[in-house]
Amino acid sequence: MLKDITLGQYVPGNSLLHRLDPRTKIIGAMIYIISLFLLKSLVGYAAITIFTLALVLLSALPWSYVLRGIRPVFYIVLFTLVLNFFLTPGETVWQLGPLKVTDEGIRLGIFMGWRLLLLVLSTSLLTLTSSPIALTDGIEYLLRPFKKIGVPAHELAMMMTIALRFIPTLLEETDKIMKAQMARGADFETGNIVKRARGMIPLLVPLFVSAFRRADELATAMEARCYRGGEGRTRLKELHFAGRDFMALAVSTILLVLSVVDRIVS
Amino acid sequence: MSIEVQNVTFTYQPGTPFATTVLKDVNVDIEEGEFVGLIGHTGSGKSTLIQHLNGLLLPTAGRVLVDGSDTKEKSVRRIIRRKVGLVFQYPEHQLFEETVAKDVAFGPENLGLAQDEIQERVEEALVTVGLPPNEYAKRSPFDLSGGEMRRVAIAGVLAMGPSYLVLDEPTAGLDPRGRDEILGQIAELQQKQGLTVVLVSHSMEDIARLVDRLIIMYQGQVVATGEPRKLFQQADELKELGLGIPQITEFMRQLHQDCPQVSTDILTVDEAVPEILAYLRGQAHA
Repeated sequence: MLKDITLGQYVPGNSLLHRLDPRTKIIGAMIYIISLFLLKSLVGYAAITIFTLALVLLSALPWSYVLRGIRPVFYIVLFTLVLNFFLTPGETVWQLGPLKVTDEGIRLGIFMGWRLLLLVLSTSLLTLTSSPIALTDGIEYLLRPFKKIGVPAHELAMMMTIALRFIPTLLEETDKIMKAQMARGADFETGNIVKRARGMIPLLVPLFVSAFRRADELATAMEARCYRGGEGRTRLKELHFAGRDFMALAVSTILLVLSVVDRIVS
Repeated sequence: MSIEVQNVTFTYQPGTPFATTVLKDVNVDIEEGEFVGLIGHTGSGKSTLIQHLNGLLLPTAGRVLVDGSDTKEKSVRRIIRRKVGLVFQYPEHQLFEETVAKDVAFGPENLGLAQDEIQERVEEALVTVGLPPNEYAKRSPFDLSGGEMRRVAIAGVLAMGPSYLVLDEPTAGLDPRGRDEILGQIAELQQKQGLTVVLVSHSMEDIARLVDRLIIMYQGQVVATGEPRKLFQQADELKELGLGIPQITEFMRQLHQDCPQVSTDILTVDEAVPEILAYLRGQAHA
C-alpha cells in the first residue's frame, strides 16, 4: 500500500530530462499545465498526449513505473467522469430514473478525466527526474524576485527540502511501527470506521513522537553547524542554463502559442 | 514443533527500478527450546528473514512453516503472530499508551483475553524484564530511561505468551550495563521457561557465549551454521564475511601462535583465565 506512492520519488538517471536545469523543468511544467487547460479541440488533445508520451520516452524511465504513479488518481478520474456524465446539461443519450447522461456530459467528462491523467503524469515526470534538492533550489531561484515584497524565498525552499527529505523517512518509520504493532496482534485492515480509527492510535502516537524527536534533532544539528538562514549563503552546486535549457523553453513557448491558437480557433 | 524456512527468496518492491533481492534461497530450521543466534553484516538480510518468521513479510518464493502451518495461510496468521513474538530494533519507538501497564496490555488485549488474565500477564511480563510492577505499572512510558523503555517494549511482546521469541538487535544503543541486563534476562527466560529464542546481532561479542547455535548470513544467503566454538575455528573465513570473532577468542588465537599448548577453544574471559594459568604453571614446572 505505502510503497505504491511514487509522488516525490526521484529515480536517478542521466536522460535529457534528468539533465535539464530544474528551473527549466518547473517553468516548463507550469507552461504545460496552462496549455493543458487552454486546449479545447480533439486534435489539440491528441497532440499534447503524443507530446507527453514523447517526454516519458525522453526520460528513459520504465513505462510500468511511470504509469504506476497515476494509479492513485484513478478514483478521482472516475469520480470526474461520473459527475460530468450526469450533471452536464445537454441532449439526453441514456436515462436511469431521474439521472440523465448527456452527450455534452460524455464529451466533457472524457476531456476532464484525460486532462487530469496528463496533469498527474507530467508533474510526476518532473519529480521523477529531478532530485528534491535540485527542485527546491530551482524554486528558490524562481521565487527570488518576490523577496522584495516579503516572500521568504530561502526559508520556504529550506522547509520544502526538509519536508521532501522526510517523506521517505516517515514512510519507512510508519511501515516499521505498523509491523511492530501487527506483531503485537494489532489489526489495521478489518472492522468498521470507528474501530479502524481507534486502531490508528497505536500507529499515530509513536509516529508523532518520533517526528517531533527527529525535528528536534535536526534543528540542533543545523544550529551546531551554524545555520543562520539564507543571508550571504553560497551554494555547492550553482545552477547554470545550458543550450538544452533554451531549447526546452523554446519548445514550451511553442506549446503555449499553439494552445492559445487552438483555443481561439475552436 | 519448529519453524521451518524452506527455499525462501524475497524481493523488495518487485517490478520497480528499486527492486532488490534481499533473500536468496534461504533454508533455516529453528527447533523448539533452542537458543539461536542470527548474525551477519549490515544488509545481509537478517531483519528481512525474521519478519518472515511471523508472516509480516511473505516469501516471493518458497515457504515458511510455523509448527507446520504455512504463513501464507490467512486463517492461521493470528495464531502465528501470537506464537512467534517479534521484538524489532529500537522497540521503544512503538510505545504509545499513557501508562506502562496499558502499553504492555496492548498485545494480550488484541488476543481477546479476560481482564484478570491480562492483568496477570502484564505483571508477570514486567517482573520478567526486571521492572517491578508496583513501581512502574502506573508511570508513563515516555518518562522512562532508554533502557527501561526498551524493557517495557520487550515485556509487551512477552505478555503475548509466545513460544518463540525473536529479538532484532535488542542491545543496540544501550550502555554495557543495560546490554548485559537485557541479554541476561533473555538467557534466563530461555533456560527457565524453555522458550525458543532467536537473537539477531551483528556483534559476535554479544551473542557468542549465549547461544547454542549460530546462523551466519551474508548477502541474503545462509553461509554457515553450527556451534559458535566450531565456527570460530574458521576465524579467517568469518573475517571475509565482515564478521569478527570475540576479542578474547582472537587473543587466544594469537597467543596460540607463540605458545601452541594454549587452546583456542575459548569464548569468554572466565574460560581464558584457567587456560592461561594452567599453561603458565606448566611452564614453571618444565
